[in-house]
This record gives sequence, structure tokens and C-alpha cells, in this order.
Amino acid sequence: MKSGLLYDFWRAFHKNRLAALAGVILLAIFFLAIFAPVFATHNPTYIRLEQEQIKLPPTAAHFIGTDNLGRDIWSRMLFGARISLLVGFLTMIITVIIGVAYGAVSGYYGGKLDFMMMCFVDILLSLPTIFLVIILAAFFKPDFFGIAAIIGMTSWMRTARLVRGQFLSLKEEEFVMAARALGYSNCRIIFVHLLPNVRALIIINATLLIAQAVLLESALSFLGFGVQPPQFSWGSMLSSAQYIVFLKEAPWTAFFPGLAIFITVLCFNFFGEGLRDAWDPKLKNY
Amino acid sequence: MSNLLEVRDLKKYYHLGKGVGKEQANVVRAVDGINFAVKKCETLGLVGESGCGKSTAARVILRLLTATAGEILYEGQNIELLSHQQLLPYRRKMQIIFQDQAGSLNPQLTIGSALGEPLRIHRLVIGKKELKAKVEHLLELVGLCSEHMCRYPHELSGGQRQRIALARALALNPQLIVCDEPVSALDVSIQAQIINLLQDLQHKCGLTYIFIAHDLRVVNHISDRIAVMYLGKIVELAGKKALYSGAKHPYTQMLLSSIPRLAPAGQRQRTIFSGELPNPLHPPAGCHFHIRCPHAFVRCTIEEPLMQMIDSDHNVACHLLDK
Amino acid sequence: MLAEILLELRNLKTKFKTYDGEVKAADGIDLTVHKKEILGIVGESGCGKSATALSIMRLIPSPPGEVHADKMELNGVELQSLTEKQLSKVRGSEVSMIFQEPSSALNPAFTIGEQLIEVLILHQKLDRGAAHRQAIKALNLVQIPAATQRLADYPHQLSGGMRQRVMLAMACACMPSLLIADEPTTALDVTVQAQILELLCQLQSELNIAIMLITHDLSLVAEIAQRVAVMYAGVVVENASVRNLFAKPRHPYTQGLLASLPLLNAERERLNVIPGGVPNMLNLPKGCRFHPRCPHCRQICRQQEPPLFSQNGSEVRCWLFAREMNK
Repeated sequence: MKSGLLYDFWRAFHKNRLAALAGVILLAIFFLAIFAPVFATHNPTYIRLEQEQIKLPPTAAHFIGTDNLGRDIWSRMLFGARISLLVGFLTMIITVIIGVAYGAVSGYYGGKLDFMMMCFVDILLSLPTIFLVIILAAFFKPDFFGIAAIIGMTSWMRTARLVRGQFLSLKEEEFVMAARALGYSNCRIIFVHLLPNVRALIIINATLLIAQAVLLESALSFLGFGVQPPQFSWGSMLSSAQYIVFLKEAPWTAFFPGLAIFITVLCFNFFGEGLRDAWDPKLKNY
Repeated sequence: MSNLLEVRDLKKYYHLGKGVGKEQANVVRAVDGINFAVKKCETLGLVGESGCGKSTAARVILRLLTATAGEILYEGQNIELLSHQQLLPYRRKMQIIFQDQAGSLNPQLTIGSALGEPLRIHRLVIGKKELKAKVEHLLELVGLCSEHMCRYPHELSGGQRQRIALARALALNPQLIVCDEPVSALDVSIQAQIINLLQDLQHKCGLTYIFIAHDLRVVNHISDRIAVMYLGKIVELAGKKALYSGAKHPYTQMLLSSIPRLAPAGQRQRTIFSGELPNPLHPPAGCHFHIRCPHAFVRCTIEEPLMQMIDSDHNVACHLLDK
Repeated sequence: MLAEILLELRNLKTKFKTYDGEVKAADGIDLTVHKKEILGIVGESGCGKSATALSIMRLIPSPPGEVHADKMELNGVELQSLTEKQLSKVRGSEVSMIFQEPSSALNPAFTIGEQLIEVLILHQKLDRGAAHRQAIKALNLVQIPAATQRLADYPHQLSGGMRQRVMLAMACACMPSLLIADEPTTALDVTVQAQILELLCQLQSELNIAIMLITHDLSLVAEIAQRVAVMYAGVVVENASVRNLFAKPRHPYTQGLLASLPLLNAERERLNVIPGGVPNMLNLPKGCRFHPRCPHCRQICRQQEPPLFSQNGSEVRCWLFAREMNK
């Protein structure tokens, strides 16, 4: 009887068709984004302002038409995907690193330290995230790495709470006591013994975080505070789609980037839920 | 033979914090001044029902919990006040195995890693070859084979996991092993195997045990001397024969009488005692047992009895002795 | 002096479909419970005793479980042919069950009074006032002091022993003919265990309730039961009166179990052990299920599973008795 994180993962996805489908779609999106230059049909920043080029509907030459500046939307979607996903991943990494470290220390040591650390988290959680992000973004005018950092700084708190909760309960387990009886240092216990046991939870949390980050970045860019030109993401594509006076004229300029965001976030959520269902009864073991 | 471990007036109180409008914080006296000594190669049984403090006492002795007061003397040295660094050499001499074998092994580590880790951390082996050899030796000691090394805890049965926990405790060549309900969660037939294993290892490796359980039958079988605990205090401490045939404390008598016997019903007289363990937050005044005691009298409600020696190896804390 | 038969179970087979294969939790169980009798069912983990109890109560979830018996009659009524509606009338009023963990069997959101009254109203169609009085009577029956005040308590306010008594009160409130007790004292302290056992005896004698006591502790069965069935890996391996079983255990497993118990008054240096462990239910040994661990294993034991041989009210599933007993 084989066992292991991956095997269980495979077994459960075998049953959960929706999550498996979501996973496949995500893989396709990554593939397209990574190989954007291969799949793009035009230069995404090439502006052609001739009347017959702008706001073209989907045709053979331009799969999804052109926007108000004559740029090929399909190619823009592919390259925009890179930024959107990149920001999503970077944010997730920053959030996970800060959140896990903070939560682990707070949960393991407990007592007064935990109390103070969680007070701080509570304070941060009471600040309106969206406004904070907007203000920081408007002030610093960051590149995509900076955006990831800003969004990350404002979303690590929930991860910290999650990890702290797990650590609080895990540290009462007898194998931790056994480790202390064997003379292991606290550092060793946290990293070698406790962290691997919250691995599954962190991974699930991470996929859901990516979804959240993509959404937040899109919102930011839509409002104009995200990535600045000439960089663009799906969110900024939505932003420029606003400027078409009659959206009825060229609805595809807004529809497809919006759809892309929607599908990506949905798939991440389904995938994350699928992971949770797959690992849930074993969350204790893995 | 001198004492390997001696515990003097050990206390562990839990302060539950003040409620709004309450004058005094609630205190749970989990361990309330216990005294005992264990000689080398001896097994001391610690028996009592839930809430009596035996598991807490075990953890305090191993410094897994901080004592509120009292002394823990290991080979004459008080280890209660030592720092983490100073305590390390003593950690190697005292080990513990738990009731929940699934919980006591890290589910992420293979058996080989779990057994090899203490050897590496304490630098008891040099090089991979020696490590592997030592791990195999440990597995052999507890009756398992080397093919278990790459398995994970959840792939093994309860009995096998308990053997691994024992092997891990033996890795550091300890002198004392505290066994906290090691067989309570196991099937009867496996229980017998583990008990025999514990006894064999005691002879082979010269181990001293503090054996904690709620089942007096098991404790009686494996121990040389037995301490009976009730609500944080030791009420009787005696050799096992003396305890079985001549228990003096009413609570010990109650325990012995409540144990179901294999002789079919009708062949013995049983007295069933009423009442249950009182709330540990509000233990009765005087002798904690007086509410359930069939022989309680006035003095029991006022004064707590002290431990008295009635024989060379028989101590009881009960006012009945003075009557 | 054979009392009437209350529950007759013939060839009960309970299977569970798992991802790794089919587990036959109960594989051909024959049991009989007489009126006003205490039958002990003893076995270790995985032997199928809980599965048997849940099968009788028809509480096994239908996927992934499958229950089938040739006969499952309670008071002459075939339980397998009842609809769900008819079953819910039978459960609680003719056959009740109490479980190992009283804290999880009681609903923490309701007082015990409300839970007791609910049972009474549902099964005996009493009005609230009458049910309230009956509930107090039930609590008195299980010797809970200050019954009237206790009705307003929530489960978490009671100790483990008290909760188990409340469970018993709920189970016996409607005077069932059969009470199934699944490890009722395992989670309790030994002094409380003795009280609960005494209570079970009283319920048997005063209310004429038959009890099926499921446990892993042979000495509990010796204390209060009249008959005992020993189970191993999904089958009954020995079935006899308590007197006969403890005086002369026949099946090697029963003998091994008895020899491996630490006793208070015995002077044993080492306990006799049954080597090995219970078999993996997904991969049962061929022939007799116990043969890999049996000190008397013979050629036929490895090849064919023995049937139940019976004689004078005792039954043994072992080839050693093929000659002296009948099939």
C-alpha cells in the first residue's frame, strides 16, 4: 500500500473531477504564459492608430480583436498573463514566508509573546487593506515586484493566524514532548518536527492566496495604481478598456481580460478546495 | 542500593486566572506535594484514576513541565533548577514513552530517521555506517527487523509503534524510563507482548522504570513497589505484595475491590462504592478522600493526613492509623 | 432452564467497500440472546464486535457498508424487512444502544432533561408533563442524585460516569427488551466502571432487560454476564456459558487471551503471549483465521476454515474439536 503526500493527492484528484479540470486549465494557462512569445501573433505593444485597425472585432488575424490603440488583444492577454501570475506567485511567496515564520514563533512559544504578537496582527487586520494598498502603491509607484511586496505585506496576517493555530495544537502532541525529552533544541523542533506537519495546510492556503493576489492586483491595476505602462497586466487591460466611449462598440476588449481573471481565480479556488478535500482527513498526518 | 531518583515535596499548580468579580484566582493542584524514591533497576508503579496527577507528575519529573515547588534529585543532584544546557546530560539518562503511540511519533519522519536523530544530535555515532548499525541494533532490541526502517508510523500497528517509541527512548542509553500508560491503548494480546518486552529490557539493559497506569492489574504485575495517587497526593506507597494483601488506605481498598475479576460472578463479595472524583478546582477540605470514604470521621474533614510509615516499606496517609 | 429467545442472528455478513479493497467486518456471525440474559461479546480491535452491534441496529451507512443476514429476528420480528420508519420506532423502544464515549453521544447543545424528554415523547407519545415525570423516574433508576435538578444540566456539567448513566437512562426510558452496550465503561475510571456494571445488573433484574455487553475486557464479562461469545477477525470463535468458558476455555485464542491477562493475585513472572498480531482485514490468512498465531496449528487449519462445532450449548470454531463435537 503506497502512501505519501503525492499519492493521496493523486488518489483524491482522481475522484474530484472539478478540481482535476481546474488543475489542467491552470497548467494550460501557465504554459501559454511561459511560452507567450511562441503563441503570440503580434507584438503586444505595437500601436497602430489607423481607423481601420483600432477596435477590431475578433478576426482570423487578430483572435480577440484589437483595442482602442490597435494593439492585438490576444497577444496582450498572453503577455499580461505573465505579469498577473508573476505578481500572484511573488505575493504568495512573500505572504507565506512572513506569515509562516510569524505564526510558527507565536504559536510555539505561546504565553505573553503569543499574546503580543497576535495583538499586533489584530491591529493590522483592522486596517482597511484595499485603501492601505492603494495609498502605498500611489505613493511608491512600484514595479511588479513592489506591487507583490505591498500586497504581500497586507495579506500575511491571516496565514500567520492559521499557522499559529496549528502550532498551538500541534505542540501539545506527544511527539513534541518526546523531542524535548530527547534534548532537541526549540529551533530544531519548529523546523524539523512541526513545520512539515503543517505542510499540507500551507500549500492549500498558498493556492488560495495566489487567487486572492491575482484578484487584488487586477483591481489595483484597474484603478491605475498597479503596474504602470509600458508593463501591463489583465487588470490594466480592463482599465484601458474603460476608455472606449461606447463599450457596446467593442465589448471584447473588456470581456476577455475579465474572463481570464475570472477563470484563473476560479480555477485556483477549485484547485485549492480540491487539495483541501484530498488532504483533509490526513491533514494531521501530512 | 542508593536511590536513582528521589522526589521531595513536588508540586505543580495550574493558575487559571481570575474571573471578573472573583477574589481569588482558581488553582488546580495537579500535583500537591508528593514524595517518593526509586532505586536502581527497580520498577515503581504509579497508579490512580483520571485527574489524580500521575501523568503530570511524570512530565514534571522529566522537566517537560516546570514544577511549582519541590526538588527532583537525580543521583543526588537537584535537577529542578538546572538550565537547559545543564540539563542536557540528564536528559539522556531519563526518557519517557507515552500512551498514544501514534501521537508520540512524528508522522513525517520515517522510523529510521526518528531513531537516528537522537543518535546524531547527541553525537553518539560517527558516520552513516555506524548510524545504520546502531539503528538496526535498536530495532532488534525491541523485536522488530531492519525492514521497518523506511516505513512511516501510520503504516505500523499500535504495538509496533510502541516498540519504536521504546527503541527511541533506548537510543540514548538511559538509566530511567518513565512509562506513561504505555499499554492502555493496546489490544490485550499486544499488551502482554509489550509488558514482557519491558521486563526483558529491564534485565538486559539494567533499566529503572516508573510505570504509570490506571489499571492496577497491569501495574501490580510489573512493579516492585506501588504508589497510589488521589487528587494530587500519594495516599499509599508499598511493595506490591503488601499492597495487595494488606492495603491500609480506604481508597486503595476501594480500587482493589472495584477491579473486575476473572472468577465468575457469585464467587466473591464485592463492595461497590458510591461517589465520584470531586472537582479538582474545589477539593474537599481536610483529607481529599473523606467524602467517599466509608470510615471518615471528624478529623478527616479538618486536617489533611500526613504520610506515615507503618512498615519498612509501607507508607500510608490516613487518620485511621492514629485511631 | 432456557429462557425464551429474544434476538436471533444467523449468518450476519457486514462488508465495507474501501479504496484498498473489501473489508468483511463480520463474516457469518451467529448469535442468540435470550430474554433477561447478559451476553458478553469479547474481542480485540478489528474483530467486528462493534460492526455486529451497529448491524443489528441497522446503523451501518449503506454505501460503503453492506449488511446481510439469513435471519435477524428481534422478538419474532425480522429486522431486515422493516422500513426506515418502522425501524425508527423499534430503535429506542425495543432495542437501544449505548456507546463508549458518553460525551460525544450526548448533544452538547441541549440539557439532558430535553434529551430525555425527547426520547419519551417520540416513543411513548406522552405529553410534556408526563414525560417530565417519567424522565425523573428514569434518572432515579440509574441512581443519579438530585434528579430534578440534574434535568436542567448540560452534558458538559456532568462527569463521565454521570453522562454514562444519563445515556443508560435515555436508553432504558422506554423499557426496551434489548440493550446493546458497546464498550460502555472503557472510557471510565475503574471505580465508576464498577458502579456502572452494578447498574447494568440491576437493570437486568428489575426491568427484565437483556443486555449485549461488548467489551475487550474478559473480566467484565466474568463479573456480570451469563453467556459469552469470543470474536476474532470477523467470526465467532467460541460461544459458551461464562461458567464453562472460564473454567475450561477451548479455543486456542480464548486460552491465549486468558493466559495473557495480568492478574492481581497470580504469581506470574512473565505473561504468556499470543505471538504476532491481529490479521489485516484486507488480507486474511487462508484457512483458519487464527492459524498463524496458534500453537496447535495443523495441516488442515492452514487450508480450510473450521465451522462452528457445538456440544451442550457450547460452540467452538476449531478443528481440534472436530471429533468430539458435532457440526
